[in-house]
Amino acid sequence: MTMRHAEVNGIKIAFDIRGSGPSLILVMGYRLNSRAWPLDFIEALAKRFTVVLFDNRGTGLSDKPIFGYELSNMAKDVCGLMDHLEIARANVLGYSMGGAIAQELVCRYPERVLSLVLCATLCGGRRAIYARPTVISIMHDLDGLDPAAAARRIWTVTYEPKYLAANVDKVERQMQRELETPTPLHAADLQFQAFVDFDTSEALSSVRSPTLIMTGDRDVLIPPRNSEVLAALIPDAQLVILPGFAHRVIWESTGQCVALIGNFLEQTQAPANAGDSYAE
Amino acid sequence: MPNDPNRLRKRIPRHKSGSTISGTAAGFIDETMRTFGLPLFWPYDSFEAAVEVILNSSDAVYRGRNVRYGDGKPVVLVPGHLGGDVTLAPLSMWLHAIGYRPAKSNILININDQSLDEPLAAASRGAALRIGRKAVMIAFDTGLRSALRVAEVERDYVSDVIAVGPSDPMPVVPIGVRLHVIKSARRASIASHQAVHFVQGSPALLYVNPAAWRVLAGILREIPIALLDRS
Repeated sequence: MTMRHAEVNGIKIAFDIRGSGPSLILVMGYRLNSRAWPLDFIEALAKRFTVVLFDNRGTGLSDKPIFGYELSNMAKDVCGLMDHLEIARANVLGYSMGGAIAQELVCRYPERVLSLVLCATLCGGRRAIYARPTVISIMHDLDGLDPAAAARRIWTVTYEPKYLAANVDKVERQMQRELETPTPLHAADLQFQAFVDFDTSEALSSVRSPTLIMTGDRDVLIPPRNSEVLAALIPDAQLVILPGFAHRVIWESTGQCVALIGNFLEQTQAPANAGDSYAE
Repeated sequence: MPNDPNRLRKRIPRHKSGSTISGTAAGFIDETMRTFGLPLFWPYDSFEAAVEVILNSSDAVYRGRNVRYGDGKPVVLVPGHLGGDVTLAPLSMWLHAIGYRPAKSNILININDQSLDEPLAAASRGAALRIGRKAVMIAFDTGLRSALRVAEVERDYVSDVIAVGPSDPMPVVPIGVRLHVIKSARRASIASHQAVHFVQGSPALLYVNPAAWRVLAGILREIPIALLDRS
């Protein structure tokens, strides 16, 4: 994957574009960069959409400043990238913390979001149901561990145990790809802090973009009840809870997720194609 | 007048160095009396402290409510007079829970001796190097003296010092060290050129005072991350 760079919101953001069709921007979650998306997931979506992948600030090949990790500012990064690519409106898919960034994007720049897919995420604030302290501790108390050991520790709460047992080699390869450009500790800490501070629970009722909310029913990191809360807060949102999958539902059930996302987005495309670019 | 900041000094005459007690020992005893109110005010202060602890025991701050989450910066806790790492264990656990990386000072009992500077300096260097960021020192009452000496020498590893209930008079702050001060409103008479955050409650209980903890979390949150220069 050859990444390009854009000067956005005062920093350099690394991005890549695949496929053709209506624009679909993928926003990755906590600590991960764009190389973490499953390859078959990207390939399948690229057959139907112009898929825009990018590294959130602090990750991958993007700049890693010591400021600006508030999720509202990271949503501004996405908006700036859309400006750079001359995309007036796009479909936006956010996974985990990326789902929180996508919520900030749609709340602050509603005219830029054609439709929204929120995967394994939450609304923050008092309406959110947070993971048990033991689970958060596994995610966050990683001092003294090398990146691979930290990643293996995190697996235990992000993958479904049976899936993990049956797919250790696949998960190991996935991890190697993710660790090619490890996220520095300060960026991980500031992303985590921003995720804790994040709260869109009051603003979501104003969302008018068609929204699909999906999660696995065995997600212990962001319990599926959060998706039900999101579905209750966002008008006319569709909710899909996939049985047997955990936080990494996109990795564990790639085909099913592609079908769900593809079908949902295609249903909402008709009004979009007219205003897909500033150039038009 | 339990709120008179100078009441102990008024009531307890300062011991001069005599033939049986050296100047150092007299200073130590004087510090102990001023810190703990022994022996004249023991019953009153104990009662007052017990009431304060009971009233504060259900404060939501202890459960991490109403405080902003931290950015993982290393924090070295420096105990006050006759305190040690053990006395600061509750604060250490709380700081960890709200997103910081507290480190022990390596001080078993703070007897205000300069021999404690070296282990404290080692603790500060170690905390900073482990995380790759400059540490913040949180120093209680007389621990501030050690903290400032170490911060001056270890400027490459310490960015800020937060003084909680500093003893009087305030030590001189070395150039280049940012100092933040939290004091009990009961000792508000001492003028200081530093910005001081006043909180209600007994000076001797500041290390478990929820109002002080809330202010502490606010100060820590405002201190920007300072990455170590690895070049």
